[in-house]
Amino acid sequence: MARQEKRLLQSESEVSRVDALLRKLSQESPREAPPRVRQHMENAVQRYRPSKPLGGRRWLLAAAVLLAALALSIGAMISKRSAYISPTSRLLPPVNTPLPPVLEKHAITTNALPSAKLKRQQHAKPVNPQPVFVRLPFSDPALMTGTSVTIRLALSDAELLAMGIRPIESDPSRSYVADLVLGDDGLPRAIRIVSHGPRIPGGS
Amino acid sequence: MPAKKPPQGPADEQRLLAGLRERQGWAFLDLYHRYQGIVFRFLLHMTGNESAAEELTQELFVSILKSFERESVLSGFNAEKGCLEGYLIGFARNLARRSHSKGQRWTSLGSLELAYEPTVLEEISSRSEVRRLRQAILDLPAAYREVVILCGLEEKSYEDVARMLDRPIGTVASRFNRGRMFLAKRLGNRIKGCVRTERCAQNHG
Repeated sequence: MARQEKRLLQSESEVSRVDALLRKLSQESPREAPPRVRQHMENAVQRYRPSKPLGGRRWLLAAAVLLAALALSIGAMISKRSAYISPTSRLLPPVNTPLPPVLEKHAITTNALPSAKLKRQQHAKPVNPQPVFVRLPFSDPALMTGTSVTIRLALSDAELLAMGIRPIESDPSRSYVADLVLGDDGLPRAIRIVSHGPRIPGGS
Repeated sequence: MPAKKPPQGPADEQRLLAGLRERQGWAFLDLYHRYQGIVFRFLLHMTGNESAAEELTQELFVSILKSFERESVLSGFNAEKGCLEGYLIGFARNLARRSHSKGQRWTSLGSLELAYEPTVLEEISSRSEVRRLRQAILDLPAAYREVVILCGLEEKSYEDVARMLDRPIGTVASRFNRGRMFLAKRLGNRIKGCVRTERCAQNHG
């Protein structure tokens, strides 16, 4: 019993010594972080200090993005309507007559490849009608489904005739810049004469 | 420059919180000046390494500052559950644990100093005992160490520590007492071992 009491007293004294040492360690411990940490924090505040909370601006930002997207899509729609005419929407009805179709005179411009400036001028003046696509005589109208690709190329008078298109004023030395609509199978479906190209010297 | 004292009342803390939520620079600096001391000391005793404590203190406050750029500042803080000091200590505790589990083992200057065999004369010097105590604290399991640091070194009440660590008061009290017992045992064993070594050396000499 006496031994137990002695052990208890000993452990109590040891624990109280630990308490005293803890107090001493607490006094010896640094009271503050090193000054360089404070310096770093002050610099970081200068760098990171946001003027306004982002949360408040988030809706504004989202609305601005939405408006911009809307404006862009409307602009794209308008420019598509004025500059590009869907080949399928402007195609003439199927031609079953043996004679090849005649291109309208107003569809042919006298310039070479239209520059961007000229295009803009054309967009600005809707008075001049856009040249229309003419369905090629040998194309099968039943196949005009799915997607199509329009390519621009230069053709001679003879090549136009070979495709079944006869210009009103046939000139063998003249070349043409034309948009050709190709179907899914790669075969040409329709054509649109964009402009006259330069005269081919000694052309057939 | 002396460190500012932590906010005395809830109104002061509310003002600080409001400033932080408005992302005011002064509020952040105020937060830093008020709590950097306790955070740094806690991390110093948890890691036993001054440079690690400095780095983690910096990381803690920088991450709070970075939260200024997010939608909510101090998103994990709930004023109903505890005070800012408790939140920061919890944050520091997680940082210390994460840093330790990442494999960043700290080499304490204190432990390097203890590498040589202490003599009896050194045993009786309290300075040496404090150094050994520091080492013994580092040898404690993390759950006991944090309680010993907060209750024994920072002299926080059991209630405060229980709130900070989100543990029942009974758990905190028992961990503190067991931690002290462990420290006493460690210090007692070292002294006995050293006395025995000294006696052996004298007999053989």
